[in-house]
Amino acid sequence: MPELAIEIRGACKHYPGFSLEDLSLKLEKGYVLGLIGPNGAGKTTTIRLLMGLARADSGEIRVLGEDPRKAGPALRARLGFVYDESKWYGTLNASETAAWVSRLYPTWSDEAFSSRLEGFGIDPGKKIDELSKGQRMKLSLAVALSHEAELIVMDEPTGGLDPVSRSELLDSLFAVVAEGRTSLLFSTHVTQDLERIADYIAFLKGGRLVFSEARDEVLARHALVRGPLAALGPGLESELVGRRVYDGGFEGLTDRPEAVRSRAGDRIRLERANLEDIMVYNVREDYHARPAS
Amino acid sequence: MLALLHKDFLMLRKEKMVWLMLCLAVLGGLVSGAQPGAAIFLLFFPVYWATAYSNAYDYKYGAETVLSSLPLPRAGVVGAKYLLALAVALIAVLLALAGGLALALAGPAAAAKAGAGRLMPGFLLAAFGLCNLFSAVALAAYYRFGYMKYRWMVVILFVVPSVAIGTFTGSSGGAAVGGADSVAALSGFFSGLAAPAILVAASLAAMALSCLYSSAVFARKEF
Repeated sequence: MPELAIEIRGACKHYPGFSLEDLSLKLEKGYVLGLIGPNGAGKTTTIRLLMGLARADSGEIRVLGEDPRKAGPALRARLGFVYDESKWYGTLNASETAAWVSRLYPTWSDEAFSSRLEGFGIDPGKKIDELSKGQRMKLSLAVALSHEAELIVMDEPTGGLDPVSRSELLDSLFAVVAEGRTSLLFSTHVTQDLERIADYIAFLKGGRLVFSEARDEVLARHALVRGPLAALGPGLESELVGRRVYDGGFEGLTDRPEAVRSRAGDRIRLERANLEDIMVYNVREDYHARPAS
Repeated sequence: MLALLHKDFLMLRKEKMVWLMLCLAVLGGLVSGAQPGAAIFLLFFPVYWATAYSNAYDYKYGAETVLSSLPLPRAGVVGAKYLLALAVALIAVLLALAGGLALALAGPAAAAKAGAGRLMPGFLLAAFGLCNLFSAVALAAYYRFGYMKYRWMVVILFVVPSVAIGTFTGSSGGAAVGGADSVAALSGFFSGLAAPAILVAASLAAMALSCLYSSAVFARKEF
């Protein structure tokens, strides 16, 4: 049985106006899990549960084999985190931040930290408040990587970044993943990011898990369907997750491309769907052709 | 906890106000003989400032989320705040001692005759105790009510006892109740060591209880 970095079984968490319901997820050590979903889907709540920042109302959560809420500092010493906004003290610079943070991690390496800062192009003497958002995210990543975190949890790390900063951050992550020692949970609503680095995709919507599968399987299972309106009968529509109609034609998403092909034959065209297509057609209710699975 | 104390000192030393606070503590030592009430008020300032700034930074940067994700117990996050308050109170008292010593050794004869800067171990102990009592209440309020409410509560907590001490000792402008007699009474309280020592012990016990309470509140907190 493979060792698990993350295991969530039937976790529920209720807040006024929002509930995470019966969430079950697994991530094997050494892999990357992308958590996607629109705003308010439950991604941040899931991360809070994993980091022990919130307590599940029910269900079981294991991070590196331990309950994060009950486990002490020893577990957190094995975790790295990059939150959606840099929460490091902005009046300190990177060197000063390392000076106090390093005292908390038994496995901290000053050389690794300096080398990461250099690689990320961060001036260690510059106040964190004066760094760009992308640099602040990279600083969080540098901290996580300087104590040999076994699992890094990232909550929307690319949110609000310009394309260049996003690309640089993803390159850094890609290098970390390529080293193969670290597991990664990466929550985002920018789905292109995950197509580059995720091994598995978990899709949350309205506090519920829609699916959690290997990225390649998710992409292989879904296809975009395009064709003339005349081809869009009730039989075909029942095979679509969602569809939108435009002048003279339609575009839809299916998770049963073979069934669609057998129903519509050559009247329709099947194309590769990306994660954004899959998310949009699952989320937009005005696109729904049948109840989402 | 020491890592967080280190962090607080790294941040506080960058504030321009730190020099004013150091000066106020020294000034407290200089006036401790002539105006013990005012001197205590001056020693309150650095403790109030240091803890309020530390809490304000945590609030501004949403740092409690990070602190709770780091490998230290939540009780350690809370304990570090109390440690900061104790450390700053100790530094303030030591600076006051230095100021008092300097005046006693090198100050003008007239000032020495008037009692200004007269070294009173009892006064220093009592000031340390009162600073701790202040922190015990202020930090419990911070963890119980959150930063926004704490901000106002701590100002009231800071001003009311200070005005009361000032009024009692006649240092708040001459319309005071006790005037010189009260200064003498307060000086009498400080002249012995027993009462201030009891005050210090009580204040440390209050800090410990307050820290336990705050830790329990913070342990339940969710982010």
